[in-house]
Amino acid sequence: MKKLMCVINQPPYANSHVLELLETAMVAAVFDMQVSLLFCGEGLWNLLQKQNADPLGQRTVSKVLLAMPDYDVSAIYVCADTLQDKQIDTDEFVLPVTFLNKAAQADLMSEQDAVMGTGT
Amino acid sequence: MIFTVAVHGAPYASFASHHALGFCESLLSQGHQLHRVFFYHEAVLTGLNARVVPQGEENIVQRWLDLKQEHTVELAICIANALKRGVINESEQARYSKPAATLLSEFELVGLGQLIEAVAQSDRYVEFPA
Amino acid sequence: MSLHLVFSNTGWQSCQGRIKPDDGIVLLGDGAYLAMQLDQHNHVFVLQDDLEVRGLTEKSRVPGVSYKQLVELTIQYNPIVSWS
Repeated sequence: MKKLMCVINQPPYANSHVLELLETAMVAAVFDMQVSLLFCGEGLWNLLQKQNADPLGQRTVSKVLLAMPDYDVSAIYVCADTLQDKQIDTDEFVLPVTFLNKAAQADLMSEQDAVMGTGT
Repeated sequence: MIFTVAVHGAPYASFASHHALGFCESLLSQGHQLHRVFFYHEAVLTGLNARVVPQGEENIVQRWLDLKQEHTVELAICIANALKRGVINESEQARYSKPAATLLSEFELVGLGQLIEAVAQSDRYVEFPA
Repeated sequence: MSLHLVFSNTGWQSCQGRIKPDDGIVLLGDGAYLAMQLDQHNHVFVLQDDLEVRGLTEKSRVPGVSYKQLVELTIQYNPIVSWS
């Protein structure tokens, strides 16, 4: 079983990048890959509750994220260093997440077969 | 060794294709296999059939076509990303009643499953961002 | 061991702290400008073409590699992580 990590480092409504990456993650999970998501940098904003993308006429990213565990994407990591910078209250996250510092992220990354999303 | 390469940048707006082509041409000349080239995000515009190359600029898309002809490489375009950018083949043109097909015949429209299948079948996945 | 392909200064900022000591790094595109300021490091390379395009060949502090050598590096390391 191949391991795929999708790194989400962009905010939810800058462009279609995050939604397209989440679609890739779901398809990979359907194809029996072991998929993990890593949220870092501006990507942490994707995890906030109470998003509503109706005015933009697109899907609400937090709702797509809520479906992730249904697709067996349950390894969801958040950069602990970013969290400290942004002062976000973790109670506001839509999903249960695991916090990792950057060194642990590097360890996890090096165990993957493929990493996506770190480029734009 | 088996490679899959993904390209994320449009041909006129980024040098993603230059890097990806240099990489693909080199790996094939070293006897490795290229399972699939997957054009994603803005890179789906690589498959447009109506581009006019400015004088003095390289026709980078022609290099993809040459690569395909020489090595029978699959040039796969993400269908979801392509449709919303107006990159359609004849069957999509008919399906959505559009005035013209806009995809070069050397490129194929495929689903995201083909990206994942390629990653699963390959020893290496290399992404060239926009 | 990962191979980090760094395509820009922004990409370089993003990968800071996420590189292990044995990981490899290749600078490409505008990432080539970093070749002038990076400290000598065993596993840092820059795509020679991108140095030449930008007039940096003599200013680079890290060794230039061809596409052939880039392919060899992607075989030596895995996964390949592209930062931009």
